[in-house]
Amino acid sequence: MRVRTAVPTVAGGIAGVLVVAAIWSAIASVNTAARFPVIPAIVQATIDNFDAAPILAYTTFGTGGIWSNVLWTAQNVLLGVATGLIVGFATGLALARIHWFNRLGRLPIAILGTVPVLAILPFLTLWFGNSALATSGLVIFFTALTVASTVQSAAGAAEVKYSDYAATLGVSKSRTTMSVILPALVPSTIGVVRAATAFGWGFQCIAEVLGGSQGAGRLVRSFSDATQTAGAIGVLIVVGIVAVVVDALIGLAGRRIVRWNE
Amino acid sequence: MKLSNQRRISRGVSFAACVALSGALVACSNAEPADEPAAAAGPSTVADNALLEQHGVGIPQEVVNIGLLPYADNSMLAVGMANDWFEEVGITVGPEEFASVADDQAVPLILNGDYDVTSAYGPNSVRNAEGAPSIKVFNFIDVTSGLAMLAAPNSGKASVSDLMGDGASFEEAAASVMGDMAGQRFATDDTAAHRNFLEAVYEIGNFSQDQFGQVDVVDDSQILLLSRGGQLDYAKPAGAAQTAELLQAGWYPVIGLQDLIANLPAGDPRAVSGLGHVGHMADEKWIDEHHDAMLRVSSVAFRIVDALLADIENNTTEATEAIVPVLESAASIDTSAEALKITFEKIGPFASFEDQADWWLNTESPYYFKATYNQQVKAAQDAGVITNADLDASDFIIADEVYKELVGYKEQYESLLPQVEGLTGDQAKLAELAATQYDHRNYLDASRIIEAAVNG
Amino acid sequence: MTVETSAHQLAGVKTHAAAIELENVSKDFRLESGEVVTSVDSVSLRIEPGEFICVIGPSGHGKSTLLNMIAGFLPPTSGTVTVGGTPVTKPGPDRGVVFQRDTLFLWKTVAQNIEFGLKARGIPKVERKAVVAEMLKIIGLEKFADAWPKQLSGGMRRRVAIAAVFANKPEVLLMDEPFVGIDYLRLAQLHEVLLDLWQEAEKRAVFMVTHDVDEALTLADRIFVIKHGRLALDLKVHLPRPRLTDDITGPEANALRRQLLEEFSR
Repeated sequence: MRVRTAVPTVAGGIAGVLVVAAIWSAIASVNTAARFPVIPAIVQATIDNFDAAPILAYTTFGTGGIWSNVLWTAQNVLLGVATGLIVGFATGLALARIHWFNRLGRLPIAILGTVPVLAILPFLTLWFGNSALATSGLVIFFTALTVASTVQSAAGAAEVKYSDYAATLGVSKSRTTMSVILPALVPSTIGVVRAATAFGWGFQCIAEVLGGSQGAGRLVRSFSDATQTAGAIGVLIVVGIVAVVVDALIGLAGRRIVRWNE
Repeated sequence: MKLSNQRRISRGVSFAACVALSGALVACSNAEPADEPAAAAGPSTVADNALLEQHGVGIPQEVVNIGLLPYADNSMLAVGMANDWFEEVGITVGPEEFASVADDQAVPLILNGDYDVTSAYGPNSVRNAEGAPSIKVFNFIDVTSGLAMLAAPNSGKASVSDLMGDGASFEEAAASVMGDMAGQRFATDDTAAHRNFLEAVYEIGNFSQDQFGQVDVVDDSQILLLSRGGQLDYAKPAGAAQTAELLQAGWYPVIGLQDLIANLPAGDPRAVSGLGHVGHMADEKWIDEHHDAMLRVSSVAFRIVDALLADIENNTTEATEAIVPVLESAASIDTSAEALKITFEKIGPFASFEDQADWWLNTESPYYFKATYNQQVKAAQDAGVITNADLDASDFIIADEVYKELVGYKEQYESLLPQVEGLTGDQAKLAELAATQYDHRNYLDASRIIEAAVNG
Repeated sequence: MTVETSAHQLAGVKTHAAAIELENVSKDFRLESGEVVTSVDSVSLRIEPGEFICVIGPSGHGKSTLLNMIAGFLPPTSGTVTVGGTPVTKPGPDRGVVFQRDTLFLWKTVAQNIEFGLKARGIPKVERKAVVAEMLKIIGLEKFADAWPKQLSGGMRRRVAIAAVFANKPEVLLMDEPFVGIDYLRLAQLHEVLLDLWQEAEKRAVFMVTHDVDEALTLADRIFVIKHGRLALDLKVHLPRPRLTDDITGPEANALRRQLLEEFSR
């Protein structure tokens, strides 16, 4: 039964990709390779640069090819999201459950939430140089803020829904936090982590474009600077595929973790 | 009985809409700038153009979209914009005057048709030679030899010139300076062709890049940020103004291209390893269709070079002044006309039309353009970045042909000049106009007009 | 618990503490406009251990406010609220509450939900398991012990929610319209479950807010009518238990029903 429902979806997806490829080919046929390389050129450039990308070594003394650099970016996205998740979760929970922290922290955090994410990149460079922390800083910042906001709201909602009931069962406040509020936050947290990871790819790549020596973003920039458009598109396609796979894995893990959720 | 009256878009309509959208995408992607109605050039801005037109040598009014890279010498066309020198040769600058474009945007914007001409840095053109073969550099205006590795303020590191002053040989001094860099944090610009300079310095100083504690390859704006944040011990920016900004902040050169030029034996290719030139580039299609406009843009560029050299010689800043606001805005630095003049004098010497003969005509000169750029092409070929083994500097630099053409027009004017004596009326006026254009380095129109003057 | 009043002291008589007692309890709320609204107005009532009380009345007349004050969620503006002789200051396990909303923990199985209160209070595992097994048997959901709440119907979830509160063996049970929205057939089943649990709990005092007159007649020993924040009527229900259809539709029940409806329309 599952195969039957999956086949139309997969077939539809493949058909959609073929349609996009057809449109691209039509555009490429009336344009130069520099602007719209043909699909075989993109495929060839991806294969040629998969293990080693000479343009990266040439421009930045970087190492590796498309695959290793996309993996490097993926690793930093996931580490950044994990770090942001821990910071954001603790912050959101503290805002919801600790009165004095809420009083002190609510306004500064709300102000931070209005800062455009990319605007903090120069500050990360000034404070942390070009370290992995700085490059992943955008991902950490965005994830921490969105998780904190989501956790704070969800904890507030859980408080309203469950804390009175827990009190009538004789559950202490700390135990209510651990056994009632925390589990109630898991579904919304997983949702926002998935979204943060999706956005994280973009932020990480931008940070690499602007300040990195390696990674998918830097590789796209190196290809673009040399007008090797086919190579740049090849990187983006590989990033897209890896991002979709990562998202699917997070989704699978999430469904397993919150299999009890309605 | 109809239970629901839900409106649906039929499959046929949906399909037709998709096909129409796709067709629109294809059509828009190939919208040639030439197919669109040209931006209105407006009435002639050339003095006495009516007279010129009367004699069949009018200078047509054209719009040329010009973009400037955010570096001091790359912004030099701003001088012409500020003084209406483009208007004097019938060029209306678009899309707006003093428009700045980022390094990595210049080529895409030309390919896209948003800009006709942008400033160009020779070494950057090497990396685009294969990916964007239609982009051609059609003039150079200076030679940049200011590449240097700068040490952080108050770091106490000795420079090559300090050590040589104390009696060390060049090789000993270089080795000592490079040895100090072991384990340190270094940021260099991402102009790949500059690695020839780094490799020369590493070789002479018996040093390997792995010995640095950390190497960041980033653009100049990032280098400035890192330096301001105290995240660097050594820096090698690409831009002269950015270098000047670091110098102002207390950074100082410890080893540079000037050291190589001064101390390496004559003919040693490593001496020119970091040489670059700034000029202007355009798409070959635009050059073909607007050949005369391209020559006129070059004429303004050479006229500006004369003005900037005059500033240096006379210790004035009349011309240089125009570059300051453009550069400050585009590169987010603080500078002054005086500082720029010093930079131009020391790091990026402008070369007048006559001084460029060595670059374009003298094939034996170490400064012949192919000597510099074929070396950089070879490095790119060895790195696997350029796959065409036959690629040559002349594939992406046509400035030699343009130069020879301008020389031809200049000589033609000079050959007709004696015949000007005794001319009267319109003829005399034409001769006067030709002389003005000649003085302004516009050899194309000078020769056309003087021919009309002399031959009636 | 034994409380000696002054008059009884003279007579040497001891009286038991009421399961729930309210003495001149009022509750005022200040609206956003600044106006003060009196939701409960000088209510005094006494509920003995083992009594099943149903509280009915028009919406917005203070029934839930009364329940919330007994539960300890709201402090009274004036007067005293005591449970088992002890003044109420905050919520506690001596006052179990079945809420109108669904409060089952989605991440716990049925058995874990019922067990949760016992576990939180440190009841030994063996005892906990026995209580859970007993509760599951009474509510007829033994086969669903390891099911997630999302796998249950609305009626089944209500049964688990009530069982979870009863499992904790509170002194009094407070129920705020626990069966709203349940269809008639399932309602009868739930009433049966509730009464079985009440029996098993040695008939602890129950204070249940409802809108349904028939429900009150089915379940209650006494029916309080609350109107405009005041106790308008305290009606004893002498119908036999268990109450069959004939009992609830018979002449005595109808007389009670008429009395209640007359009170509403007054």
